[in-house]
Amino acid sequence: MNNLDVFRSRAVEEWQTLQSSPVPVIYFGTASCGRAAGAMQVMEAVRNLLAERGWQAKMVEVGCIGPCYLEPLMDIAFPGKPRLSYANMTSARAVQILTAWFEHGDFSLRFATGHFGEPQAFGANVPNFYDLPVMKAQVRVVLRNCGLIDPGSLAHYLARDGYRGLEQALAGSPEDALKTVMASGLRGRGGAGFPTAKKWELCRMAGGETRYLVCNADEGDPGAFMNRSLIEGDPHALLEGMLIAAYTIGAQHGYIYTRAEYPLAIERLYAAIAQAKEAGLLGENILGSGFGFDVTLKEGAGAFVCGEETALLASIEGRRGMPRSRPPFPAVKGLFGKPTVINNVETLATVPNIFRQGAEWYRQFGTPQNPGTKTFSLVGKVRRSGLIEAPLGATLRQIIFDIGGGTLKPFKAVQTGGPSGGCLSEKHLDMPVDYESLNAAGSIMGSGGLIVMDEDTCVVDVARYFLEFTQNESCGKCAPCRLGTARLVEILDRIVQGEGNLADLDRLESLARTVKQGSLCGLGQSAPNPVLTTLRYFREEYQAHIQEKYCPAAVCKDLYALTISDDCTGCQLCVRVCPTGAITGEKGAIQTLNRSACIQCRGCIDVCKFNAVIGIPSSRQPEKCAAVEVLL
Amino acid sequence: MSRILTLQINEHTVQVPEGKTILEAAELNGIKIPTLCAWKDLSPFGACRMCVVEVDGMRGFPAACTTPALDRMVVRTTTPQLDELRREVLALILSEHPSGCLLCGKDSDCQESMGTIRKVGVTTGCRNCPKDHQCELQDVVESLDCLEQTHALHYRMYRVEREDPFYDRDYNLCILCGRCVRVCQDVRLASTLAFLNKGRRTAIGPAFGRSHVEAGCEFCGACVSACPTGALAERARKWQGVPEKTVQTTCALCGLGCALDVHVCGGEVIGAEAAEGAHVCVKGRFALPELLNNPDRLLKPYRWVSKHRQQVGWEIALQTAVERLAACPPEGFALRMGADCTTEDLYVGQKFTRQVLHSEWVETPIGAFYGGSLETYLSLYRYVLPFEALEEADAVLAVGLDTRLNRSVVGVSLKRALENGARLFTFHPLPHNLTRHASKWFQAQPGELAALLGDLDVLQGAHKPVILLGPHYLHTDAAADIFSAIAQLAQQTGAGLLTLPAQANLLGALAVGAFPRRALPKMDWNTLYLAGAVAMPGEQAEYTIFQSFVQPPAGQPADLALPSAAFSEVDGSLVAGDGQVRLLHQVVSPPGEALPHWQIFCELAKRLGADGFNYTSAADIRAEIGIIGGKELLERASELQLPAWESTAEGEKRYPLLPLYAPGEFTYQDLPLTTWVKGLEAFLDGRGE
Repeated sequence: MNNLDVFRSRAVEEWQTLQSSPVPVIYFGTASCGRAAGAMQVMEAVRNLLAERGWQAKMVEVGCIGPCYLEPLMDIAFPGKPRLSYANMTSARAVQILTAWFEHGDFSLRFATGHFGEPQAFGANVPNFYDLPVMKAQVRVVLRNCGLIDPGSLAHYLARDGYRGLEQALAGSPEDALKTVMASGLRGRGGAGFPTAKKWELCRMAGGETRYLVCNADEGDPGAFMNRSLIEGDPHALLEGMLIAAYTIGAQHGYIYTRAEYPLAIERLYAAIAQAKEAGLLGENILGSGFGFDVTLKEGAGAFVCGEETALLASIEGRRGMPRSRPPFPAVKGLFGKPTVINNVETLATVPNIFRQGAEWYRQFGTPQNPGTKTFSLVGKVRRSGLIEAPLGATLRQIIFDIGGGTLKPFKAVQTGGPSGGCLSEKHLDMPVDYESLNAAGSIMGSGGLIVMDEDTCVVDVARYFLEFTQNESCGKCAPCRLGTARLVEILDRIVQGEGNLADLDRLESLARTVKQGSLCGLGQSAPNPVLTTLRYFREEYQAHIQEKYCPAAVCKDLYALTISDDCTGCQLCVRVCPTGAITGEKGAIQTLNRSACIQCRGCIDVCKFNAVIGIPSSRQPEKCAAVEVLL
Repeated sequence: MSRILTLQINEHTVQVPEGKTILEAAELNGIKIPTLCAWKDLSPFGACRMCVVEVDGMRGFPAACTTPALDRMVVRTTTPQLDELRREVLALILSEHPSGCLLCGKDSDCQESMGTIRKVGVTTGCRNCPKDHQCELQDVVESLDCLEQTHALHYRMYRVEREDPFYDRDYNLCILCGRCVRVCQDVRLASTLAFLNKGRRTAIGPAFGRSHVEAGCEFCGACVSACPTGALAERARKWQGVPEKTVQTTCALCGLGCALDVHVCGGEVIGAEAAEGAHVCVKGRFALPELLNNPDRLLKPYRWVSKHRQQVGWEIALQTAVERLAACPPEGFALRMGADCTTEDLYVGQKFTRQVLHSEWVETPIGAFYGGSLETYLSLYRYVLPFEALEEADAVLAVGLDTRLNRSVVGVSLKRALENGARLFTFHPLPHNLTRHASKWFQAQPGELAALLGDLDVLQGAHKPVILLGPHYLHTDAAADIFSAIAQLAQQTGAGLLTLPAQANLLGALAVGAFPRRALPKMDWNTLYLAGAVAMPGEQAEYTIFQSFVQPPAGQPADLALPSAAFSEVDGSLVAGDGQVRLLHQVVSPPGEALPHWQIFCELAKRLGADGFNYTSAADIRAEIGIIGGKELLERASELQLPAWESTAEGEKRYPLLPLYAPGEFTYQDLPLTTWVKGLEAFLDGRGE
C-alpha cells in the first residue's frame, strides 16, 4: 500500500463523512465569478447567522459550476437530503432559507433551482440540476469536479478518483502513455487543434536529457474565462495532467504560466502544488515509479501576446514577451533552448480523464476527427451565459440556443475564438463546431470564447473593437502586425464616424490580407479575422455605414438618431433613466424624444420592454464650425 | 565538419553548409533578398518581413532570415505575390516613417539649390534626415520600386532626444527593426536599450523610464552603427554626407589598440566605427572628428622672437632648431616623448638623443604610469595574455577596474566570459559597474589590497583564471606591493594577466629603450625637446622645442613649435597593452605642414650631420628595430637595463623618471580629451574614473 493509497482511503472517508453529515453542509461557489456576484458577502452573512443563532452547519467553498446567470450560487445538503442548489443568492435570502430550515425544517423550494439527487427527490417542482436546460445538453468531462468539490482539498479530488489517471499512466511505460493519448485523438485545446500526441512525440524524439513541460494558462481573450474557472474549481486536474504529460515526454520540470490578474487561481495552484508535494505526487520518485517532476508557477504581467507560445517562453526566460519565428518549434528547441511541450490548461486537464476512463471512452464524445469535449465561455447577448462544456461537433445552434437559451432580441452574429476569431452569422448556426469547420468559415476555435450578439450589436463596431484590442496587444515586433492593425483601426474609425467611402472596403480587405500573410506570429496572422469575416458575412452593414451614413444597430453615435415608435405604451421607464431629460410625454401616451438633448447613451433602449426606442438614419449633417463658415 | 546541403533557390541549385538560414544561403550565392532587420552577425529576428520567401511544403510566406535552410528545399525569392506582399508591408513601414526624401517630386531641385548656403541650407528644405543617401530603407524602397503611398501618413510626434552627448535620437524615423536593441543586448551585452510599450506605441529606449546613463549606456555607438535609418545619428557626423573612403587603422587613444574603421570625406576624418568583428569605446567611436579637426591644431611651425610669435616655414624652423641643438652640451639636452608616439617615432627619438645629441635623457611616461614600480611591472609582464584570452577565462579578478566608458571593450569580453560561466571577483574601493556581475566584491583600500591578494583563495580550481589590472590602484603608493602580490598570485594560480594601460604605446617605449638607462643628477636644461603627449615643463629650461599636433597650452609658449601628425595621419606601429604589435595606417594626410615625429627627427639629424637617419618610411625603421611584440618583447624587456634607484629628500626610492603627465583617463597628448571633445565632459561629472 503506497502513500497515495493511504491518502486516498482517508480522503474517501472524509468525503463520505461530508456526504452523510448530520448537520447541513452549505456549499458556496466562490470562484472569481461568484465573488464578483457577491458570494463572499453571502458567505459572511451565513457565517454570522450561524454564529449568532448557534446553529450547526458546515461551510464549504467550491469552484464555479458554470452558469454565470445563476451566480452567486449557494448549495445546501440538508441532513439526509441530496444537495440542493439556490441561485442568484443574496445575503437576505440566504438568511431566510437557513432560518426557515432551522426553525421549521422548510427547504424553501420556491427558491431552489435544482438538486443533485434522484429524480423527484424534492418533488416535481425542483428538477435535477443536470436536467436544467443549461446543463442537459452539456457533457462534463474536464469540468466534472468544478463546483462540486472544494478546490483547496486534495482529499475531495482523491475521493472523486483523482490521480487514478496518473496511477494508470505510471503503471505502463511512457510509450504506452503516448499510445493512449494517440488513441484518444486529443487535439490541443489552446486554439489550433494540433494533435497532442504528435506534439509530445516530437518532443520525446528531440535529443538531450533536459525537457520542459509548460502549461499555458495565460488566458487573455476578452470575455474568456475557461482556464481560470477550471484552475479555480479543480486545480489538481491540471497538476495530474501535467504529471502524465511530463512522464510521457520525459520532462523533469514544468512551468505553469498564468497571469498575475488571476490571484485566486494562483492562490489555489500554490495550495495544490504544496498538497501534491506533501502527498509525494510532485518531487522525486513519484509513487515509487522512479519518475520525478516539479512544477514552478510563473506569473505573467498580462500581455495578450504572451499566450503565444514562443512569447510565453521568452517571458519565462525573463525576456520581453515577443514571439519568434518557428521553426525551430518549441518541441525541438524551446524553453532555455531545450525541447519543450506547451499545452493549454484544458488540454492537460483533459488528459487524466483519458487515462482514468480509457481512450475509447473519450472517443465516444465528439466526432472522429474532433474527439472529445470542449469548454466554451458563452457570453454576450445570450440568455444563459456561463462556462459550458459540449462535445465537439455540436452545432452553434445547440450551444447558443439549447444551452444558452438564445438571445432576447433576434440573433445576429457570434464571435468564436476571441479577438482573433471570426464573426459568424445566422447561416452558420447549423455548422458543427469543430476545428476544420470554423477555419473554413474564416474563424478559429481559439481557446473557446463564444460572444453572442443580437441585432443591437453593430458588427462594424465589433470589428473595430477587436482590432483595437489586437492592435494594443501587438508586441510591436513585426511591421505588418504593428502597423497594419493600426491602419485597419484608422479606416474602421473613419467608417464608424461616417467618413468612410466604398474604396475603404477594398482597402480593408487588402490590408487585412497583408497582415494575415505577412505577420510573424499567430496574433498578427489571425488579427484581421474579425474584419475579414464581418466583411464577408455582413458587408451590407458596412455599406449602410458608408453610403447611408446609418448604423442599423444604433451603436455608432454619429450614424443614427433615436426616436420612439408607435410601439410605445407610455410606461415612462425610459423617462426615468434618461440622464438629460430628453424624453417627455404623457403617461400612457407615446413619448417624444428630443434629439438635440439626447446624448445617445442607449439607456432607454436597454430598459424599453417593447423595443419602442429605435434608431433611424440621422438627418443631421456633420457640424461645421460657425467661424469657419463666416470666413468662407 | 558540417554537412553540405543542396537547395534550389529560384532557378539556381546552390550548396551551403548546414546551419545556415535561407537568407544566408542566398547571400552566400549572390542572390539578393531585401531585408531591413537582418544585420551582420545579429541573431535572426524576423521583424521587417522584407525577406519573405516561398518554400515548397511550407505554409504561407516564411521569413528567409529566420527559416533554417534544409536539404532539397525549394525556395522562390521573387514571385508576383511576394513582391506584392513586400511592397504592401513596406508601404506600411513608410506610413510611419517621414518619407519626403523618397516621395517628394522636387527632391532633385532641392538638392541643387542646397549646395550654396551650407549653414542654413542643410536645415531648410525638407532634407532633415542625416542619413539621406546612406539609408537602407531608401535602398529597399528603390529596389522594390515602392514609391506610391496609399496609407494615411502618421507622424508619431516623438520629441527629438538631444540630451546625451555624441548622438541624437529621432525615433520618428525609427522603423523598429530592433538592430540597436539586439546589438546592445547581444553584441555589447549592455542591455541599455530595450523595446518599450506595445502596439502602435512600441518604441526603443532604456527600460523603466531611465535615462541612457542610468541604464548603463557606455556610449559605444554600436546602436548608431546598426541603425539603418536616420533615427540614431552621430552629432559630429550628422551633415557630413556619405564617406568618400574608409580606412582601417588602430585606435591610439588608449593601450588596448582596437581596430578602427575611419571614415573620410573631403580629406577630413568625419567619423569612426569599430572594424568588422571588433569593438570600440566612446573615445574611438566618437572623439576622432572633434579631436583631429580641432581649430587648436598646430598646422605650421612657429618660433618666438622678442615676445612675438613668428610663423615660419619648415626650412627656417629646422635651421633654428639645428643652431640651438648644435650648441647644446650633451648633459644639457633632454627629449621627452609621449607614449602616444609610434614605436618608430620612439625608436628614432631615442636614437636621435643618444647618437646625435650624445645625451642619455630620453624619457617617456612609463614611470608615471607605474609609479615607482617599473621593475615589478616588468616582472608582471611574463604573465600577460593577448586580450582575446579574456573571453575564455573561467574565473576573473578585476583589480581597480570600471568598464563603463573607455574600457568598455574589455567589459564586453568580460561579460562574454561571464556568460560562458566564468566567476568574477572585483577589487575596488568604490562602487563600480562590475559589482552586479561579481560573485564577490572586495571593497579594498589601496593599503589593504596586497595583503588581501596574498591570502586570496577564490581562484582555486579555476582552469583559466585571468587577472585584469585596471587603473584605480596604479597611482597609489601601494602600487609596488600590489604588483608583487599580483605577480605572486599569477605564479601560484597560473593566472594570465591583462594590463590595461591608458597610454597607447607604453610597451613600445619600453621595447625600444626610450628611457634613461642610468640615473643622472637633475639639472637645469639648456634645451628641452618635447614630442607628443607630454606636459610643458614646470622646471627651468632655457629653450623649449615643442613638437605636437596641437598648440601648446595657453600662457605657456614654446620657443619653437613644430607641427606633428596625429596617429590617424601616419603609418606605423604600436605595442598594445597585451604586448601585441598593432599597425597604424595613414587615413588622411597630415593637415597644414605637419609631419610625423620620426621624419622631423630625421631631418634634424641629417642637418646636424649624423648618419643612419635616411629612412623613407615607417617600414624602414621597423626593419631596423626588428620584431618587438609578443614573446620577443618580453625577452627584450628582461635584457633592459633599468635605471638605478634614486633617493629622494623624503628618503623614498624612486626611479629617476618624471611624472610626465597627470594620471587621468581622458587624456590624449597629455591634455584632457575634454578640451576638444565636449561630449566627454558628461562622463567627468562623477562618472569617469
